[in-house]
Amino acid sequence: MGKALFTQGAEPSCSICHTLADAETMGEIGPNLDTMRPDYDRVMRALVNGVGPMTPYDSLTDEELDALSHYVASATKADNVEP
Amino acid sequence: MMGDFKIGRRSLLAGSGAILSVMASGVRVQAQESVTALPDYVSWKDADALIVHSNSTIEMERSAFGTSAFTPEDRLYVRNNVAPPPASILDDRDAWEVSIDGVAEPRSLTLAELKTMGITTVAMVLQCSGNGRAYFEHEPSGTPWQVGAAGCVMWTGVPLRVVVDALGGVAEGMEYVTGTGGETLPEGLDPLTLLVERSVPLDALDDILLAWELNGEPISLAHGGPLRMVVPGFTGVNSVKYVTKVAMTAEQSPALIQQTRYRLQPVGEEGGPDHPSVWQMSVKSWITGPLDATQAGRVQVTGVAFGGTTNVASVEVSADDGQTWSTAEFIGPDLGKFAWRPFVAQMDLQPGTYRLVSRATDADGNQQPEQTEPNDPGYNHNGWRAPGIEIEVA
Repeated sequence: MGKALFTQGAEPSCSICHTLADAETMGEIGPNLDTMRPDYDRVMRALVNGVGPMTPYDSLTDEELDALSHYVASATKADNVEP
Repeated sequence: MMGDFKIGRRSLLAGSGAILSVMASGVRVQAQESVTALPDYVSWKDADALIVHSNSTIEMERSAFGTSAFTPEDRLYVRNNVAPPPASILDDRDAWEVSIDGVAEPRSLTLAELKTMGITTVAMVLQCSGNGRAYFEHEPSGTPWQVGAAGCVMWTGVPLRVVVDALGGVAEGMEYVTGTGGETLPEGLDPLTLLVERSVPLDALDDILLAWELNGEPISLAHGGPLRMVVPGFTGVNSVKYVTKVAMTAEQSPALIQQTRYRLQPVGEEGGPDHPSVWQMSVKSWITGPLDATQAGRVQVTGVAFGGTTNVASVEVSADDGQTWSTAEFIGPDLGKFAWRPFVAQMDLQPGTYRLVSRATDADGNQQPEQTEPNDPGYNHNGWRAPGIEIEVA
């Protein structure tokens, strides 16, 4: 579910702004996630609170937020992929 | 309701395995994320002096500050809210155009024309709004900058006041100076969600530069070349890179970066126009050395201090975490009220463990607080206790 949310489900799509090799996205507006390797909590904070020009994803359910945070952390091989 | 909702969501994070370390003082600091190579657009920078948080957030190592009155560009931090435009915008710098609006005779000017209108140089602290975010205990979202999202640099350009006067002066009823960045925005998003457009009070007009040089060299792409609207005394986000438009406006920009982001809202609340905007910097200082074990005897404790929009007047240093204080001396030239002053306190330290902190006071008598009142996004940290350094003296 996390990958689908990343590429399509979240509105606006994460792929517009972020590069993530696992999702085959090449967005260059926001940080390159493969380089940044954000852990679960960092992704979650960005999704819930927003960061910089990224606005909060208020439309996502808690389950979707969890899946998306887990997916990004896992796909980038972050140090912590669980909450 | 939104605040309650956010707090509820935040409970997902409670007790989680966030990467945290506990300093001797008990201050929690998020560990640095994985260090990676410098992105191409800043490949010329000194990698040994920098911490790469992401391709758009790069911090200077604390050990790289030294005791210089200004910061070399290859060590200066980088923060881009939106990816830079293509480097080709630097191919013909003098052809870069900026439109000036909200004046009696609005029009576009090339950089070549700006260079004929006037020139001055200002030394100023360029500091990211989030510098020190790592020291807030509520774990704000965003890059966990410690002290290295700051530098003191020399900008050269034409005073905006000169340009505005040449175009007939400020139009009636205007209250802000609004700069628009030239970043390329993607399809599929409301441009206002990403547009880098910042407004500052019109009172700042006499200090603002349209700058084309940084430390005597043409401004790099990373730092906003070919032309940057530089607002001395204000945090970095207000100095708009790749500036394509400067307007005197009656209202603040409608862009989200102005309306809801970079606001000082209480913890747990969404930012909005009713919350104070992140504008002027406050008095601040931190220790730059020594940063680890040192020999007993005479120790040169160094740091940097600045007042933000006014001169820094004095700095005190403590080796016992603020129980007793000694007055430090400024070193090097005074580069003006917007610059920082390196300082030194010569301390005789016997073997043992010490915690070094510094506390600055500006010319208006404002002193750094022990702790900064928290705000949700973690901006404007200037507390003296958290950035302290523990050292072992042998």
